[in-house]
Amino acid sequence: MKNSILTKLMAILLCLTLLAPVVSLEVLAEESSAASSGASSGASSGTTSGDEDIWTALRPAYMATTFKSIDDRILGNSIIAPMTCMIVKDGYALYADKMTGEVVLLKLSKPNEQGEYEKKENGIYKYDGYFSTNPYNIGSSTSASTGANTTEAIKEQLYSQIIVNYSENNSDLQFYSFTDAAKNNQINLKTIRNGIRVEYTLGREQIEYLVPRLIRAEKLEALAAQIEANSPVARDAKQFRAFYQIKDPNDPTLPQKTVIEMKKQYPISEKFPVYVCEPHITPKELSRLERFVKQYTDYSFDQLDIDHAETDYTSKDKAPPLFKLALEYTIDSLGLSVRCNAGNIRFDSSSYKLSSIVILPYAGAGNVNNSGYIFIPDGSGTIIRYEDIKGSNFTLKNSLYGPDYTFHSISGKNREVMRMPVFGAVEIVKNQYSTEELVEKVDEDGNVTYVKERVYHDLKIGYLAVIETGDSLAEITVNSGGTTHMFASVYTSFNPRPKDSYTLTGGITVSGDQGAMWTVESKRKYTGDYRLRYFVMTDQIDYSEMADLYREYLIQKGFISKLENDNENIPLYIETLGAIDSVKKVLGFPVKTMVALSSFEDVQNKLLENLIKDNVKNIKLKLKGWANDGLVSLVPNAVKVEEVLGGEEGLKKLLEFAKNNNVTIYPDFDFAFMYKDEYFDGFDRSDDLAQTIDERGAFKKEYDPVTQSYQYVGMGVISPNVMARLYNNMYKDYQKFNVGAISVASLGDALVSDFNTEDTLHREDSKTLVKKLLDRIKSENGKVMVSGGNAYVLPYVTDILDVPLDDSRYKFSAATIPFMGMVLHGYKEYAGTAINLAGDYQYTLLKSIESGASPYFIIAIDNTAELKSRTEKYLQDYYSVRYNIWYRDIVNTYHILNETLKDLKYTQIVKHEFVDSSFKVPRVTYENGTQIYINYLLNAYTVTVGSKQVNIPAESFIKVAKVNNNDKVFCVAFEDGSKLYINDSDSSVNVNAGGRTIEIPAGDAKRIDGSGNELNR
Amino acid sequence: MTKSKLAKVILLTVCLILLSGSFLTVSALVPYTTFTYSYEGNMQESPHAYVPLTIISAQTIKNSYLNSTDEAVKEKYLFSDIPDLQSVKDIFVDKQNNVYLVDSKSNCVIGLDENYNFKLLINTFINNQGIPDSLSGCEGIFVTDKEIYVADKDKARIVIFDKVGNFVDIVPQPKSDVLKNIYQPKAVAVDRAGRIYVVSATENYGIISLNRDGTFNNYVGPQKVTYSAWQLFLRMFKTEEQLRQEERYVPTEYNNLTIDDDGFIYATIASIDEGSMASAISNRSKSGDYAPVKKFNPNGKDVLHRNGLWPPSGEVAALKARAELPFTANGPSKIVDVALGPNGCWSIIDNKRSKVFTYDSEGNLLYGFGDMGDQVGNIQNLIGIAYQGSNILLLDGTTNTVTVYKRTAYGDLIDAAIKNTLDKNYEKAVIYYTSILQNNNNYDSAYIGIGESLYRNGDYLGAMKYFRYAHDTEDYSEAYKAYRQEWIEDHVWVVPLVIVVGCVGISQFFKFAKRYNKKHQKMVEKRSFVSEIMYGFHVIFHPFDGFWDLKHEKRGSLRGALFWLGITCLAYIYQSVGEGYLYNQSFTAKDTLLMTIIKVCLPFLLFAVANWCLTTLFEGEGSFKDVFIATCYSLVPLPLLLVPVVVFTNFVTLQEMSILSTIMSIAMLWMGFLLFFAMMVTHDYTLGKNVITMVGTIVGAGFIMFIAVLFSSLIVKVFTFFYNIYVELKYRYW
Repeated sequence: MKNSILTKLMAILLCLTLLAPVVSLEVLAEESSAASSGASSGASSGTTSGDEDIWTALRPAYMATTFKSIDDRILGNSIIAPMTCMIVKDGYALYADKMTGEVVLLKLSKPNEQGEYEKKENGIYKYDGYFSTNPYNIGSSTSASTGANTTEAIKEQLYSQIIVNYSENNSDLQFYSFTDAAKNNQINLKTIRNGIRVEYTLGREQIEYLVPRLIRAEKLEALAAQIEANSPVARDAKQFRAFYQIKDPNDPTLPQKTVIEMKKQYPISEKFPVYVCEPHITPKELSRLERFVKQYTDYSFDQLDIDHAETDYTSKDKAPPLFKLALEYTIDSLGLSVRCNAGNIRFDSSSYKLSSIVILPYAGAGNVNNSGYIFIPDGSGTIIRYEDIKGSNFTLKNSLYGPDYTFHSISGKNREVMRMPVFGAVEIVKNQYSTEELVEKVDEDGNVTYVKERVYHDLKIGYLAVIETGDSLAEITVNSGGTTHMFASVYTSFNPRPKDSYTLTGGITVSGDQGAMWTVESKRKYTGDYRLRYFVMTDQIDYSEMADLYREYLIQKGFISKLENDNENIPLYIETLGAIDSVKKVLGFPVKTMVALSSFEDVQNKLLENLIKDNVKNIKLKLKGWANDGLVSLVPNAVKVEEVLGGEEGLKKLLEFAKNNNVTIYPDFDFAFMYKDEYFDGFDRSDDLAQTIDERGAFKKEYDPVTQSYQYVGMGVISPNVMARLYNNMYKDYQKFNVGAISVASLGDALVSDFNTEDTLHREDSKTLVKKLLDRIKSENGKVMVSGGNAYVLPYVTDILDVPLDDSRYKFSAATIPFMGMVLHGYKEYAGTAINLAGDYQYTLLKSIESGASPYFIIAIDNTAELKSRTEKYLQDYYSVRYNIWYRDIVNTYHILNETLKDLKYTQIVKHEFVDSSFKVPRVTYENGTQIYINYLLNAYTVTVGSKQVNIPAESFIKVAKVNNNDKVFCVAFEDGSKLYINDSDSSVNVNAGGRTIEIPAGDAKRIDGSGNELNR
Repeated sequence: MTKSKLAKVILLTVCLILLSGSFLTVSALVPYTTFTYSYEGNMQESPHAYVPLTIISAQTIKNSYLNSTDEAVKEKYLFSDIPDLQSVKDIFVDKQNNVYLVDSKSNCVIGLDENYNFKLLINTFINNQGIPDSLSGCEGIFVTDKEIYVADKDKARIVIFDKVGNFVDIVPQPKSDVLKNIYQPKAVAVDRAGRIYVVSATENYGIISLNRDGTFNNYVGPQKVTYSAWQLFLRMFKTEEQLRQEERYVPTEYNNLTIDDDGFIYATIASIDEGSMASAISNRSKSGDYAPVKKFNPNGKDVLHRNGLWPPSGEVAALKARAELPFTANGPSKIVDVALGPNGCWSIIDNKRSKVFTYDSEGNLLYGFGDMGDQVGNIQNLIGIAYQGSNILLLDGTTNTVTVYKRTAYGDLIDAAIKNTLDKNYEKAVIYYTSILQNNNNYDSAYIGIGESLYRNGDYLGAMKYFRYAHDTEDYSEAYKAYRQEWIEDHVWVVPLVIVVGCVGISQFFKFAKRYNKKHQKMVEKRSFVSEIMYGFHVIFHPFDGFWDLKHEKRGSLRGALFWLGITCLAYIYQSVGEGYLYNQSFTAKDTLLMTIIKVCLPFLLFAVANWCLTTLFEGEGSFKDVFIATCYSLVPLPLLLVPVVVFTNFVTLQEMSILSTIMSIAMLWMGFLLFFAMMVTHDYTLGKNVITMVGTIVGAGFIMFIAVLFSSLIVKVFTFFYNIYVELKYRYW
């Protein structure tokens, strides 16, 4: 105890000696008072001008102090005040630094018998895990690649909890909460119910600068002389003078013309010579000059007013940028939630445009010199390991729920979409803390002695963040300091005022052909909350726990619930392409006709009956292009079943067949995109399409590999405002079929805003509308199928197709994890992208198994050559959909997957990890202990099951299940259908394989093929 | 018969697909699109033929050295640091699948074994003078069975090492004074006879061929300077000085080369004029002018086959550089390297777009793939390509990494199909083609392959169908010819019958028309509509007499004239929809209805108006009505010949198309004559005066058009001006 205080004192002394050259002597004198005032100023750390002096001592302290742990950070040192414990509640304690706005959340250890949370010797509550808004070791940050110390400017950024990105006259600027609020004492901390509120004022509150702009010559000379006399650096006075220009018409050296102009411009100069401050001086330069004046002279605002009055100077200064906003940290039983109300963000919106607000950019930031990883929900989920990114500078940025097609510029080419509003990080600090423990020692003679030894432990910390509200406006960013600092973090940023730029072609104010870029803000801004929930992990501290936490969260919120156990097989999802318009020549004249790709009769006779014959019991059939002009369909304003497919009668017959044979049919409607628009189809593209910022109809753009840019694909973006109307009209026709299920694929995938001036929607509005519509669809139709599965649709859908099974494969990312599968398995039925359209069949099969996904195929039964000549981008993807080639594969794939996943259908995934070092052999563990190993390597991989070594063939998988719930008897199922029984127990076990009962002796193993014959191992 | 054969093919394919599980490979999300180009030049997506497998970087090379199990290698390089890859310029794979990288900044050659483990490092050596020497700015590498050739650019020499890295020889700069430019070897290739081919950075006279001892042989493949007619015309007015100046712009620098087992040199050029290259592509040029890749035989003649739908020049779509669109890449490809794959396939890389295009030996595009980005499989600055067995290795000049791509099952199918076709194993090839087709509905070569097989088996109708899918008009025409032959043999009596009936019908009709017109020759108060129409048949054979009567005897009329104008329009409409497949490959009409009518009526009206305007000044006797009627009656030969021609287009082969176009030319000529005499008679001009007014009419028509265009563009300008004011006001002050 005493020892530690001594070391601390030593450390402080060391710090001070290091700081001495930086901090001038008078600072040292004031240091003690500053520290004490910082500690005592309390909740209302005032904004009196005297406090500014605190920072002359504090800032270097923050910049240089090397804290060793979060405990040290909380305790502070002689300059930096200890963090105040603001609230203790529900097993959490919240500490805050009132000067910088830093917050540390401790997840406390279990209370003792009295129900009190215990404290450690150093006065901090005992905790199991923590989460801090800024890293504690900023002071010791170095470049991860060169080892050079991080510059102070970067360190100031690292101390920030808020970054405001704004633009002034089309130039992008930033405010950091430490630099622009904390250092000016513009952070205000208040206690609120269940938590605290940190109010930030970023920017300069004062409009006027203490800098004379037009002043009598001799007065300025006096000022400059004062600076020269008082400033320790001779350059300061020179710099100060450099901004002033003398205007003296009596100067004989000046030419006549200049004198006349001068007199005209500055009439005052006729009376006496004046100095003019550089008219185009920037606010930054002004504040530098002001610092000179304040620091080295006795000049005051009163004097300034007198001097300006004397020279008739009136200020034309624009108000400097100023942003006011607040973060609220509250604690409830779930944990910490951080709220920023968009409506309370205040600034001068006429001069400055807000680009985005970054909330807690360095929260939970990991030190890349340690091991650990960042998790982002890119596609199925990806982890970015600190080891892999150490020393490299990069920023990965992607908006949640994919691109907003209403905007002119969109991004994300060739990438998977982020569908879940979560992210997190795990960090493992080697030998972070030590304890004295009795260690068992066995000496040479075999005597056991207990020796007291210092044992070093690794500290494992991690958190999961869930964006609760405002998610649709959020972007998730991963940022690695690389050469500048040693931290890597993941964070979100929001833009409450959507804005977009477009090129005004042919505008008259512009020279050249390029046209001017116009940036326009949306008429409607988001005024709701951005609420982030942070979960501090304490158990396994890995991404499996993140999945657990998120699943638990979704269950608690009532968004998902366990599938009802009806002991069914896993579903087989089949999508059939219905009819397509085509041109046939009749007597040499082209005539437009509809061609059936899969008629109802063919679907029943060829597809369904065969599948049932081949023992596929649970078929879910999605009908695409079955009504309203087929694949290039009209907007669903009614239901007109295609005659060429069999018409209404044909559909009814198919539905009847389906009902009798346990087939669910999901007819598909597209409420998000318009493929074509005809007269009198109940859709008016000028009113009903979402509009871009320049009030044109919005059309979907996709990445075009030819031009390597985004190009229109001929799909109009339907405004979320009209979706409900379309659905109403459609449902009038649809309900008579009494299908009991519906597919609204695109509603689960695309989310767009609408800049229509009459009823502007931002994405959060659209999200609400889509959710409302889906709620109705669900209550009126029963089963609802969507594509993609953005997190907000989860409460309303029963089946999700096109769930991403893979990540974007960034060069920085180490491994793909099936996060979506881990969250959803056992709670929703889902499938990945269609297996026959995926680039690689076997890979997709393995990925499906890893994610616990069901198989999904898109097929057409007839006339597939019709698709060849189509230039529509959305039809070009169907280059491999022939029924006759894929049929056998469909059945085989289904049986492989069903055999593997059938008994796990209602079981959740509890753990996913990689067993090899190259992240190519994952092991998925289910709640009942069943494990699946997947080998993506091109060669076999050996794993240990029980007492035996088992070879997983290349590009294959094995499933390890317990037999009869016995922990020592395993059944290893291979892809080829054979099974290996391993008996590690003391007695022989009988198993039933291939219809035969086989005895496995104790300690032995037998491999049995699909028909019950024993194989040689 | 044919049906059962097809069924067999499909059955076999199904078996094949089931088997295919064994050679499918593992990949992940592929961050690019694989594609081919359709006949129309549109990109068509295709399954991935290659997927990224792994990335070789300086780090993985170092790790492979640290973890190496090869004690010999470990010992050999114990005291030498493995340099960082700083500026890798070239990649080469030898016959044993070893990979060689050459770095122009670290000045070294790094050799890797087939699994990309570190094996060889060459940076310093003792040269033939016994002095320590090092590479300097080395940019090219070529490895034979025994030796490694390095193009040492900054020291202007080729350095030869043996396969374990020992110095062998230096091939210095050739002494010959034939070298016209500074010698800067940047790429090198060696044929079996030991001749060394060098691409020098600024050399525009071709590839330098050297003997092993460094003596100059000759230039291979000097690019000929080709001038267009306009350029030749301009050159007539240029001074000596200007012409000499121009010589310097001859862009013939090769930038890379490789050599195949038979000694054919493949060389690439990136400095071709974009416009010329774009037009060569869009004209489907089969010649080597403006081609970015050439294959030279030992005599220096370009023998590359360019028989695909499009010439093998990389990008086909997005050729026009459109500055107003935010395209990152437009214009034709910038081809910087070529590599030879198995079975005569070869690949070129487009540095502009980071794309790889692979062609078969005939020049058909098999697949293109690649893109830029920050995902595994994307390349920032694509500068080199090499084949390692069936793997493709791409060199990224920005990150100094090599990405390895593995061929997929689909790629294997294509390879097998090509191999069997080359081996003349057609029956087997068809099986592969069928399964390619079922994986990729858009694959034209497969349609052609199957079509050819059906053709060989005598199923011409089926072959036609498949050729049609692939837009292969030549083969279609062949198949159709055979089919027509067969049909005629089956229906021997039909053709003579049709000819006889046709001839008799036509002659009878004209006889009737002659009689009819004679009967109605006498002047009557009111002529019947039918007689006015029928008079057209008289006019076309007797213009002098006919047009005279037309005007003075009022044998024609406005309604008759309008009728013939309408018939002409209808004939053209029929042409736009009714032409045979060889003439119009799309199912839709060539033009819209309105466009067709405008196409006929606009020139007609222009002529009539211009002629009338002119002749009123030149004492012409005809009124506008007279001119109009006479012009209309001159049109009669057009529909008369056009309709049968269009009908016949449905029954001809490619070779016979010229006959039909001759008939159409006759029709036009005929109409021209009629027009000329019609005007002469109508205005009562002499021959000479008529010639002048006809020329004047054409000039006048042009002038009218010019005024119209000027006027309309002015109106558009005024409109956009006000529109822009409105837009600006709206966004500034609304």
